[in-house]
Amino acid sequence: MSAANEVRAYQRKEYLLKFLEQDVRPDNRGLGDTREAKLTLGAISTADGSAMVKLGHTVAVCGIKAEITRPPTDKPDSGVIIANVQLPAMCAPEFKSGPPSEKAQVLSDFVQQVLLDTGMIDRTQLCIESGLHCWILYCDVICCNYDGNIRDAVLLAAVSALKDVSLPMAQYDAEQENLTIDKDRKRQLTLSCMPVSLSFTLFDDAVLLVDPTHEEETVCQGQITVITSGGDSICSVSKHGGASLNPEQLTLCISKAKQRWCDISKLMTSNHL
Amino acid sequence: MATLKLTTNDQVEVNNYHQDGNEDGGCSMSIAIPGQKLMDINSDVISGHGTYEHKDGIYSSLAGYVKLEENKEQPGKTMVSVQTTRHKHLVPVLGGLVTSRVTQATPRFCKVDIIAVEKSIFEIPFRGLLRKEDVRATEKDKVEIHKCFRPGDIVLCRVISVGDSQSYILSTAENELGVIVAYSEAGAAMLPISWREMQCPRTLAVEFRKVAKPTADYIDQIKELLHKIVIK
Amino acid sequence: MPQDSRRNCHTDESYHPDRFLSICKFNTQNNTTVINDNGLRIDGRSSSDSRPIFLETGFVTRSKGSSYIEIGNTKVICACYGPKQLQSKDTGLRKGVLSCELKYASFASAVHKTDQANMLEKEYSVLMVDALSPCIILDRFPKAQVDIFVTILEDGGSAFPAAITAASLALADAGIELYSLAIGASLQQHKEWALVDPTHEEENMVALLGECTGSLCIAYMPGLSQVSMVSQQGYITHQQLSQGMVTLIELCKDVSTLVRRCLVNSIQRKGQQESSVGD
Repeated sequence: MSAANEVRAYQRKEYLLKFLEQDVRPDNRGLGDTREAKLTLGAISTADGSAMVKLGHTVAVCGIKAEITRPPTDKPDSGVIIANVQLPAMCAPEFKSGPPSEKAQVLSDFVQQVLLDTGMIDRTQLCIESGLHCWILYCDVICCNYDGNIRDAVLLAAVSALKDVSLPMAQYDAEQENLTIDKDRKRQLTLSCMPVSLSFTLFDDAVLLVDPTHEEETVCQGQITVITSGGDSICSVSKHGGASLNPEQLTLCISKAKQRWCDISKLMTSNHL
Repeated sequence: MATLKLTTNDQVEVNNYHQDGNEDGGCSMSIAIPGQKLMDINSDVISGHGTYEHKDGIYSSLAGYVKLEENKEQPGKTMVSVQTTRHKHLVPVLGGLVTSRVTQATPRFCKVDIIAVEKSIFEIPFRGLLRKEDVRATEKDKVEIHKCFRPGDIVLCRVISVGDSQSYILSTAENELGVIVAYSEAGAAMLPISWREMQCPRTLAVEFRKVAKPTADYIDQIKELLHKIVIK
Repeated sequence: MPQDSRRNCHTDESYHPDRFLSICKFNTQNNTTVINDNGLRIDGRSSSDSRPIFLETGFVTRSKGSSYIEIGNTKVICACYGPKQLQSKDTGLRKGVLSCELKYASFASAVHKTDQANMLEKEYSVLMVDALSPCIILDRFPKAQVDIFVTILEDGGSAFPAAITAASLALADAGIELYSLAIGASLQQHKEWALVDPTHEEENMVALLGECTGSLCIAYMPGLSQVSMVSQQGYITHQQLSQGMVTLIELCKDVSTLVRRCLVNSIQRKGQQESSVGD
């Protein structure tokens, strides 16, 4: 980090501190308030499933394209899900065009891991004929506006787009070795759970800020992400960098994440009506 | 049609162009968009900021409010300009005052990032070069860069040359120009005590700088600007 | 398939489900006519009708200027950054430089887009520089560069002309001085019908039918009544071309009133925000 950037970060910190001393954040939120979340399902008609997520100003759009492929050799009865996140140069000044940046790769990996490891989707329902044909779902998330807490936005976009997927019926004729697809009849996927993440950051090693904006992220250290899937189950807790976190703060994070799951789940059902 | 509604306000415009006409009445008079003809060229009007002359008319080149005012330099003539809420300057202009941050100091020159022109802040800074001989108006040969600027200082400069493709050439050879914000080694914002010294309020250590002495109304302008720079 | 270590990918090739449609289905899909006996298109428009348009500025909050445009199912986002200092040493010292990058989202078209470099995107990016450069007063920002980034979220037809309109709206929103806005419009010529503002199906179907067809796309600057770009592909007679230009210029003028209204709204909104902050 150059000296100039250090000074800049220092000044921003003073600026944020002025707000936090009065228990308020620069965008008029309380310390524990999340930004308003908005969700639109099925907005993109060329995709087999799609979702647009807004967290404050942050916007992520996920579109899922389904294609036919051969099942992986080690799991002949399962389909494939490939998640990728793009941070195009359009979405913020710090991103450059070209191949995916390190940040985009980390996010892609994050979404891929959550979709597969939480077991939210039983991949055998994507199989058409064992060892021969299966569906492959390309989950591509594009960030359209980057204003902090991109993790929560991309994960929510990917999960809700999966919920929106409708696949054409496929039938395999073993005698004629022929696969036919009927576009007129479609089916939805069955999801066993819905992982929802909530991210925090730490200001000055002490103050927990939930759902940080970009401005806050630049002066804060550390990122805490808690993923819950309803009820009492926690899918993942991760904390990268920054100061140490005491157990009370962690408990607070987890309880907030549970509350978040309820809010998002309500938002999702209201969208399905 | 599935609308993405990426936008905050949900006012949907559907193509009813044909009944559109000029129904926004009074407002359309004062708001112009790029390419809109504002008036015919005549000897009493001067085309100002945000406008251009083409054939026989003055056209707007910006989207904003049209402003007519008497020209100060040429009395009796009207200046037509288009004002936006955005920054007035897109790039540093020759002869203009700029606010910059020192990124590198060598015995012969300082490299700076130009972060603002007057009140317009750049999202992406431009590179500037402040040479040793342009630091002071007098006793140019006695200038020592390390006694004038340190990396991180915020310096008020004047653009004296557009320079090459690499950087703009800047100068601080005026009383009003020089360091306006500097941090001491202890990390506190220092206070000026003379035209060449600043003091840290925390440790009371004195450091050398080429201190600016801005005029009273300029201080007001800078205050507002500095607040914005701090936000950035 | 070459492996890309920077993206998640699958080792096997995958195929579009349409490859596995039963033969009879595939045929019926291609047999529909472009224009029915009543002179109406598949979506019920007449050949000269365009689709509804939605326009908005300024939602890519940290860009200098941005726009979102929706024409029918086509959805395009555009953001504009700069002017910033030129990186290359020798070009454009006296004048500014415009750079455009147009990208399709992988889910924007019927077929999933792979990550390999896409020729169409490159071609459109170059065409876009041609269409927009004449509108920008490049002398106002010497030795600096303005970047325009366009993402097509969904291509429901006429995506490129929509991108031109979006880009000029983003430039105006960014406060970059322009001689005029540039409005894009296209048509698909099918036999004697000129299908204005074609949908993606029409663009493709006409090509599939393989008859005497062609497409025409223009960028028009309503302020100066000049055409900044014409791109014509396929087979169009001389008379159809000149007739098509007239039709498209009329459409551009119509769209420009909408663009104007969108800009006026955004200026008024900004004015209100300013005054409320001032209180």
